[in-house]
Formats: sequence, structure tokens, C-alpha cells
Amino acid sequence: MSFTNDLKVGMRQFGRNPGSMIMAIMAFSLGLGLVGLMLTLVFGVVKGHPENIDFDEIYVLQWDESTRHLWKSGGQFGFIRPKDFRDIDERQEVFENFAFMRNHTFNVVIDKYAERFEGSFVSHDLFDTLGVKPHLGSFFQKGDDEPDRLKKAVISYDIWKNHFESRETIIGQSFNINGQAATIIGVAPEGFDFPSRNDVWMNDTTDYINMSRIDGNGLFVLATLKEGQTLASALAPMNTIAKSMSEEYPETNTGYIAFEITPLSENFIGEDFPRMVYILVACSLMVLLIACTNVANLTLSRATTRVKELAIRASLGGKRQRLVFQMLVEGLAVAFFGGIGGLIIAIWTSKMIWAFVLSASYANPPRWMSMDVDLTTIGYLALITLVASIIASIVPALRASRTDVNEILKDNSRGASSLKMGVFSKILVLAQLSVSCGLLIATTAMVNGAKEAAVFEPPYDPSEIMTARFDFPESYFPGEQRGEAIRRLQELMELNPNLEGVGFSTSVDMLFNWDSRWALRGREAATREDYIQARNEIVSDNYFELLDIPILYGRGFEAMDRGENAEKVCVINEQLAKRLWPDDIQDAIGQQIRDVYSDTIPWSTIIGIVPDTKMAGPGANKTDEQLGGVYRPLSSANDQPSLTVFAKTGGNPTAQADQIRAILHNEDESFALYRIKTVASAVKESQFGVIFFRNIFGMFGAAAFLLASIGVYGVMDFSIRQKFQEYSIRQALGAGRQTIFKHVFKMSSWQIILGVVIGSAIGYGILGLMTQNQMVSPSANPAIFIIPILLIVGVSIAALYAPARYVVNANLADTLRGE
Amino acid sequence: MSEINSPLIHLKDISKVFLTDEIETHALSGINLDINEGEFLSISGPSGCGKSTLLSILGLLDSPSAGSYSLAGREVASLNNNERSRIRNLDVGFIFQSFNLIGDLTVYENVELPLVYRGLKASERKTRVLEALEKVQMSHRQSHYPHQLSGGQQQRVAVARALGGTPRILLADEPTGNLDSKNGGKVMEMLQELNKEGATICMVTHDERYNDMASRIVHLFDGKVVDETVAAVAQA
Ligand SMILES: Nc1ncnc2c1ncn2[C@@H]1O[C@H](COP(=O)(O)OP(=O)(O)OP(=O)(O)O)[C@@H](O)[C@H]1O
Ligand SMILES: [Mg+2]
Repeated sequence: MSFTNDLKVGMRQFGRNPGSMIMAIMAFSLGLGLVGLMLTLVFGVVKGHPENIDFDEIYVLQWDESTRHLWKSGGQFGFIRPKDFRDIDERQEVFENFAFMRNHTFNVVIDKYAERFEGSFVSHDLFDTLGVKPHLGSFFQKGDDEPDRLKKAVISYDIWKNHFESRETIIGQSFNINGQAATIIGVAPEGFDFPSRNDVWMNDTTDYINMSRIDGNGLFVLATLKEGQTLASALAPMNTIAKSMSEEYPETNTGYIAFEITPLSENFIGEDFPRMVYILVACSLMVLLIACTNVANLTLSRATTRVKELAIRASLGGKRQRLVFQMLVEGLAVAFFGGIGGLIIAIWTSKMIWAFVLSASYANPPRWMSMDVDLTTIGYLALITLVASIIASIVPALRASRTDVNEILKDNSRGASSLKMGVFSKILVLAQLSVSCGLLIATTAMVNGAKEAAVFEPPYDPSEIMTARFDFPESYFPGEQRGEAIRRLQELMELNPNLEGVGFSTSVDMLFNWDSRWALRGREAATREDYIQARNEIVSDNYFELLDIPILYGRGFEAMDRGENAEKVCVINEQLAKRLWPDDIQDAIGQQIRDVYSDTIPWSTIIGIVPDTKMAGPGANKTDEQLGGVYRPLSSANDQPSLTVFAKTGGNPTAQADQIRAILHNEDESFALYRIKTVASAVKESQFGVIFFRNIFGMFGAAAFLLASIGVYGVMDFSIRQKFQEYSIRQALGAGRQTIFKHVFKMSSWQIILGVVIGSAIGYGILGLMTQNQMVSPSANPAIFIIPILLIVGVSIAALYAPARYVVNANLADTLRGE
Repeated sequence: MSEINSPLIHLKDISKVFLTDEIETHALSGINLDINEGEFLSISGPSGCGKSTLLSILGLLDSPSAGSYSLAGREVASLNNNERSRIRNLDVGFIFQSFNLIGDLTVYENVELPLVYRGLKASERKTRVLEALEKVQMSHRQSHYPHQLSGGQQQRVAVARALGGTPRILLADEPTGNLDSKNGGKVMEMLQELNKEGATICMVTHDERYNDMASRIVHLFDGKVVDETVAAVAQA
């Protein structure tokens, strides 16, 4: 028995039956392609990192989530406050480098106009911690963090090239950044944008020494371990420091008794996205499993047609292992071409999806991130291909080898189809039905989730309102000047004949508002967590009028609410009023509430009630807690560092934005306007996450359904045709068409029912894993189960109907006549 | 019920044309044939003359291209699928050369199957099945599967299956073709016995010896009836 001979037989087989081989290759390609796509997401995004930074060697230090009490830090989450950072830095002995950064936006005046860049304030040793060397100039030095030091900036390679024509003389030059003079000292290496899309890094000269312990923004603390230290050995001494600090500063640090130290590789991408990706990896492997069962079935049916020939050969002295060997060789050939097809599909789909990510302004991935099919991906894909091909050919090969040659030769009644693989093919069908049903349920849930995420029906038309944001930090207008400055800006905009009314709000894109907890005067709660939760938005006086939001009861904000001595007032929406005054919401008017997160915000009197204003942003099925909210006038809360400015588009949002930009620029040249869009397009952008995953699930669902449909048809067709003779006999004995159809359907009904039941369980499981996720909300309602189940049942019936029809239309005389 | 003197089966100008790859094969042309109740008819002729085709048409496994076929006074040539199944189930019993037992069913279940399709009650089915198996001396093997039986035994089970429904006519296409002479002889004796008990039988065989067992022999040649012999012995 020679290998070439086997190959020849294989080739002849292929020539005789190319359809089945091509089918198998295509099924493999599809399954492997989706697995490959997921691998690019794993290696390029979840496990990816910039070329020159070792994410595994750099650690992120945060307060331990389980021990801290959020409200005490005013909702600063696990981030470490500046004053604590100083203390920890002085006391700790386990870290070599101990650096921080905090995000900020920078308006840099280049050629008279301000450009806005994302960036960070960083400690002097941040670049050392990351292990990055400058492309040009230098990075920060020890002492640059002191409050009296000059403001310095490092810029990205990108803006150096695009905005400064790669001039080397840029080093040492001074620019207006956020209203103050700063010197550019260095250019970061090409591609560096740490942590993500940053273009400017400045030294942080905030006077932390004189700051109170509770103040200041939370810092993102990055550190590298000293030689000989490990994550485990570092944690205990760090926690000792935390404990002693909590004793020293009980006012602010009670409860902050432990740290959480995680490698940057884990911290960077968070938990939600990887979890989602790993769910998808599991789903892609399920699709591959369906593909494998398809291939197995095709291999088996090919083998079946050959088994008699092989049996005759065996009886003539040929070796029986030969069939097994041929099947394995054939399986490898299918796997090889399937693997290549899979690679092509992976490259193509990952390019497509990455293009989608880049086109969505909400995603904004760091520049080093990509979904390229690299050598790691190819390596893993090759390995998975090998495993898949073995899975797909081993079972049929074993089946074929176990058949009794003597029985095949003796058995006339069942012709060549004597491979008794009834149970096996039933399992194939079951696997295909249940897995594809499960994936379809997940897909439907995602499609539905995306649809619900798009639901946003405020009292105004979102496509007719433009929104933009500008930063208004203390450095522009400190303290008392701020209220005056905002009022002046608003007046200027109202005077502009080209603008049809302009308002301000703290809501980002007019969609997203912060949560606060609110105290109601006269109703005290035990802890801050027990106070009522509701949204918090600060708006200009004309907000309701401009957006056509009616005042249901009471009044809106008026001129008399302005000024130092005016009574502090607020307007609440109907949802909140209903929760607090369920008997009669009108009782709300005149009551007083207060934001418990802040000790400085006084009680304000409720003067008006507005209807549901969708303060929770887009998306259906929001809880009452998400929907209720409080509006306060900007005139009494003007300490906002950034503001949203909105206007009626008048059909041309960019023209409106130009008018607003001109007014801002006129006031101060370092003002920059960004996030310019209509509210409608902001709604669309906000759905990025769910649409991203919906698209991938869509591909998986479609592939699974396609493969399962073909596969189930293949198996059903194969097993019914195997019983061709039997069905002919039954008809000769008087079984009518209906009887045969009934018999066929009855035989498979338990498979379909069981498949749908297991599939629903799989789908339910996938949904369960996904609902822990913040990024996407697959929506669970009966329809997302019913539609996939109907599809699966429909496909199964179609898959049975075709061969059953073939059987009942057979020429009985021919079939039953002796051979 | 058929009228007195009218034949059980009446074929008039039956012809059958097969069309394969645009080649017409005239398997049967202008067959006129009557079969009376209680007759033991044998059809003979060279290979390819149309014997099996004729039997298939008699058994309503196939329909003629032209001509009329009345079974027990009822025109059956142009019935629909379901009606044909019903007649096959009630009036026809088949015995094939290759037995055509269902491999996944036991001997008992194989014999029972036509009765199930007829919608008989389980108790009545049981009586009939056991009676039929008794006749072919296979009662002791009722829970065996076909592949556990010899060829002769399988064919006897097939005969039992054909008998169980007490059909108007038994059709047997070379029932001994796959059997050795000893087993073949046994099956033929069984058919002769059945005929004596009143069964109408129409059989195709190549074996001259068994031709003699029939009461009438119809000779086919090239799709036509060329001769008929009435066996004197049987007439007696
Ligand atoms: N389904 C069919 N398609 C085409 N031609 C057919 C078909 N069935 C039978 N024939 C042709 O019809 C003719 C009669 O065939 P038939 O099987 O009835 O012969 P037979 O007398 O039974 O032969 P044998 O003694 O060899 O069994 C033959 O020429 C055969 O080739
Ligand atoms: Mg024949």
C-alpha cells in the first residue's frame, strides 16, 4: 500500500465528487475564518500593547474596590488622590518607578487658532516608568512636578509632523496651551500615544502640598517593581502603608486599607471588553464545531459510498486500515485548503471590522492597536485547524474501520450503506441544531439590543439640535469671573443674528448626565447610599424653552434666580417627582433637595416639574433611577470645567458651530470647540459598542445558521437516503405518502425538540454571561428566543422534507426489484 | 365484490415505455391478460422480455403507459398515489427475489407492518401475524432480525408478510432466485400449498421445474404475450 496510490485514489474521489469536498473546504473556511477573526481581536486588542512598552512589567496601583467607600471620595472610584500619592510615594519601598498621569484636554494655539488635543498631565518619571525614549529633545526631569516650575510639554510624533512640519527647532519654543505659556521640550517616538490617542503630555505643577486631602482629580498610578520584587511580595507592604494612612487620616482615608495592583496588560483594556471577546471566541469555536460536524458528515457519506468497494478489496486481501488512512489524508487536505480559506476570511473580516472601529468616533482606539492577522494569529489558527481536522475525520474514520467487512458483503438489504452510524449522525444533527440555535438567540438578542440602544425620543427633534463642547477651566476665568464670563458668552451668542438661540448644559452631547444622590429636606436617610439616586444636569436658563420642553407644573428658571443672594432653585422631571411624591407630584413644588455628594452645594427649592426628558440618554428599558433627574441653573453652579453648547441647527450644524467658535475665539484665543455634531448623530455614535458586537454576532449567527442548515440537510438527507430501500418497502406494503412523511418527521422530531431545548439553554447561558457587561445590553424578551427557534424548526423541517419527498417519489418497481 | 365469472384481474392493451436518455424502451406492448380467482399463474420468458415490469404493474408499484387494468372489477390504472397504496395494502401481497425485509425490524414486526398500515387493532394483528408465521414455520424466530436468518428463512418470513394481509393476489418475482434448490423447493411447496387453500398467485420464475407447479403459464417475448399453456395436472 503506497501513499501515492492513496493520493491517487483520493484525487479520483475528488474528481468524481468535487462538490462534497468543496463543501467541506468551504465549511472549514467559514468556521476557521471566524475563529481567526477572533484571534486578531484577542492578540491585537485584548492582549495587544505598543511595540516598545512592556504591559506585563508595568503595574497599575488603585484602591481595592472591595474595601473602599466610594462616596467618601466623592465618587473618585479606585483612583488615588494627589495628596495620597505623595504620601505613598514617600513611604513605599517596593517600586522602582512610581509615576502618575491624569487625562486632560489641551488647547494649543498654533498659528493664532486653538487646536484641541487629548493629553495628560504626568509626573516627571512617567516616561521612565514606561521605558520610552524621546524621538527628539528630552522628557521631564526630577523637580518638574514642583508648583513653581515652568510649564513644559511633550508632543506626539503625529502633531509634530502634521502641525509643525517636523521642524527640529520646535524644541524650546513656547506656545499658549490652555491659556498659559508652555515650552515644548520633546517629541515622543513615532506611534506613541499612551494611554490612548494622547498627543500632549505636560508636567503637573499643581500645588498638591497645599491641597486638602480630599481634593484633586484621581490619578492613574503606574509603577515598575524593584529587582527581586513580585506582585505578591509587593502587596503586603503596600497594604501596611494604606492601613497606617487610614489611621493617620481618618477623616478622608477610613476604609482605604488595601490596594489593588494589576499588570497594565489587564488594567488597560478593562474587564468588560475581554469578557465579551472571550464569549465571542467561545462562539466562534462553536461555529467551527458546526463546521467540523459538517465536514465529518461529508467525509462519512463519501466513505459510505466507498465502503463496499473497500470491503471487496479487503476480502481480496487488502488491508482494512487503508480506508482510515485515506480518510485521514483526505481530512488533512480539506483542512489545509480550509485553513487557507479561513485565513483569507479572517484577513478580510478583520480589516472590515477594524475599518468600522476607526470610522466610529466613539471607539477611538490607541494608535498601536490593530486587528492584523500576524504570525501569532496564523500559528494559533494552524494549530486549531489541525485539531479541527482531526475531530472532523477521526470519528468517521473509526466508524468506517469498525464495520464488519463480512456483514457488508453479506447484507443485501441495505446495499452499500451499511455504515451503521445512526447514533453518530443523530448526535451530529443535535450538535448542529443546538449550537446554531444558541448562537442565533445571542444574535437576535444583540440585534434587539442595538435597536433598543437607538431609542431616544426627547420632546425635541434630535436631528435639529447641534451640540458641541468647550473647556472652560479655572485657568481661563478663575472664581468669581466665571459666572460673568458665561453670561457674556451667552449674550454674545444670543445677539448673533445667525444663531437661532443658544443654550448651555453639562450634559455630554446632550445625552449623558452624571448620577448623584439627593437628600430631601425633612426625610433623612441613614447613610449616603440610602439617599435617592437621580441624574444631575446643569443648564442655562433658556434650556427648556429652546428645546420645547414644557413646564408641567410651577415655572422654569428666570432672571430672578440669578445672583449671589437669589434663592437656590431647581427643576425636576416627572420620574423623580413620581418617586418622591407618588400621591401628587405637584406636592414637589416648594420642597428642597440637595446633592449629598457635595458638602458645598446648598439646598435648592424645587420650582418646576418637566416631563420625561430622557436624562439617561438613548436606550430602552431604563430603570426609574436612571430616568429621574434634577436640573439646576448654570447661573448658580458655574464651576464646571467643560460645557456643552447647543443650538438649533437651522439645517447646517457646521455653520452654527463656526459662528459659535468665532464668538468663543473672540473672547479668548485659547478656547477650542470640539465634539461638534447633531444630537441625532451623537445617539448613533453612542451605540458603537452594541453595534460592534451586534455585527460580529450577526456574522456568527449567519455563519452558524448557514452551516447548520447545510449540515442538518446533509445529515438528514444522508440518513434518509440510507433508508431509501426501507421506505420503498414500506410503500410497497401500503404506506401512503403521509405515512412516510409522518414516519420521517416523527423519527427526527425528538432531535429537533432536544436541539431547540439545548440551544435555548446555550443561548440563555451566553446572554447570562453578556448581561454582566456594561458595554452592551443584549435585550432579553421572549421574541429573541421564539424567532431563532422558529428558524431552526423551519430549517429542520425543510431539511427533512426534501429527502422525504425524494423517497416518496422513488420508482418502487426499480428499487425493489432484485439486484 | 366481483361478479361471477368476471376475472379477478383484467388487463387490456397494457403497454409500458421507459424513457431513458431519450431512448425509448418498449418493455410491454399490448398485453391482454385475465387472471381468475384461485389461479396459480406463472409468467415465463427470456431475460428482458418484460416479466418484472408486468408484475410491477400488476402490483401497482408502477403504472402502465397505456391500457386499462381492472382489479376485482375496479379500474386501477389511473389511481392517485394514496389510493394505489391502499390497494397494495389491502389486495396485493409481494414476494421479492431479494426478500426486501426491513433490517431494523424483527421478524414479527416485519410481518406486522402491512397490518399496521391497514389500521388493524393490535390484538387482531397479533393473531394474524402468528397465524402467518405458523404457516411458514417461522413462529420460533419471531423476535429475530432478518440478518440473523438464512436466505430461505428470510424468504419464508417475506411470504408470511405477504400472507398476513390475506391479499386477493400474491405476486412473486423470482422468489427462489436468491435461494439454493433445497430452500427454493421449500418456498415453492409453500406457495403451492397456499394456492390449494385458495390463494391467487402470479409468479415469475426462470426455473422450469417450478413452472410446472402453476396452473397456467404465460409466455412473454419482447413485451408481448406469445403463448399460453394450461397445465393439465392443475386443471384436474
Ligand atoms: N426503470 C427502467 N428504465 C428503463 N428501462 C427499464 C426499466 N425497467 C425495465 N426496463 C427495461 O424494460 C425491459 C423489461 O425489463 P424487465 O425487468 O421487465 O425484464 P425481465 O423480463 O424481468 O428480465 P429478467 O428475466 O432479466 O429479470 C428491459 O429491456 C429493461 O431494460
Ligand atoms: Mg425480472
